[in-house]
Amino acid sequence: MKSRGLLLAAVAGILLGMSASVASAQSSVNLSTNANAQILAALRLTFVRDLNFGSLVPSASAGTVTVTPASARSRTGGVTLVTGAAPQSARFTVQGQRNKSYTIALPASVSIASGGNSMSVATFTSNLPSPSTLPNNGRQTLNVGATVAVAADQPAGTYASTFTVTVAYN
Amino acid sequence: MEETRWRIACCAVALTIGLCARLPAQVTLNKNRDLAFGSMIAGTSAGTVSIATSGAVTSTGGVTLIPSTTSSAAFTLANPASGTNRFYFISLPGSVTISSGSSTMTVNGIANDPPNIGAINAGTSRVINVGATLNVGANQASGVYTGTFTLTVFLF
Repeated sequence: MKSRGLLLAAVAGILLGMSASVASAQSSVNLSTNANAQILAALRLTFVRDLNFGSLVPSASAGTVTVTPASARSRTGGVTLVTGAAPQSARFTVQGQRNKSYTIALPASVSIASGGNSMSVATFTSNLPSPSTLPNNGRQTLNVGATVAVAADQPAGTYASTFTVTVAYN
Repeated sequence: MEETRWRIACCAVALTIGLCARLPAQVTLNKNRDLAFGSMIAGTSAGTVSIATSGAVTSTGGVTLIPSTTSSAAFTLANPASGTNRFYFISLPGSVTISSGSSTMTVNGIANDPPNIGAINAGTSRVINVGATLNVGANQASGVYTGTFTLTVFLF
């Protein structure tokens, strides 16, 4: 009788012990994380006005005419500047995500032509550095100037061409 | 009387054994990094951005990816040396909504590496990488979208 009581108690004790350890067994762990993404306003470049070197007169020696992004015109060598079409820098409007950085790519050089004659336009410069950051209103004015190389006795004519400016988020 | 005394004694011993039964050290789960889809421009047509568990980023449809920081999510599941060998089962939601103000996007295709079922022995750890696909609507409104999801690891 005594031993049966002991046995029962021992069994109960083992069961109690087992249930205690089962109840304490860890069944799962979990943790949350963030998922995030940013949708940016599209970056747009809108044409406002052309780059114009104005009117100039060549001579027996070569020269250059430069228009700065601020539309200031200067010359070197045998070129004479004359009044006529107002010289101006090219102008674009950049629109996009405020406070977002973007790069500006200007051409290395383009050729402008009048019939079979041509001049090289190079050393493109802009009022904004690359990369630039859009201000709070997400809008900036981009002015582009360049230098045209005028050969000795460059034939008369109206020289024109197009060039491409590219902006991209970086 | 004698019997009762024995019972009390035995129960006391059993209770002590039960309470003192050594509990296995707890398996822990820590977050290493969030799931970041980075910056993008929505197009006039819908598209997706996917982050693989390896962290590789791909896009489809009208989405343009912008250079930015992206990452798969990562967690570390660790079983301490004083723990017991366990099996695990990883559970993730089927989809999650991330939002920016009233605009929302759905994240689905939530995938994990290593696979759902595995063993984690005492004294070892596993890094669980989680990738997913972000669904970007046509002309999706600009903004910073955030949401949360939970990784659950069942232990056996």
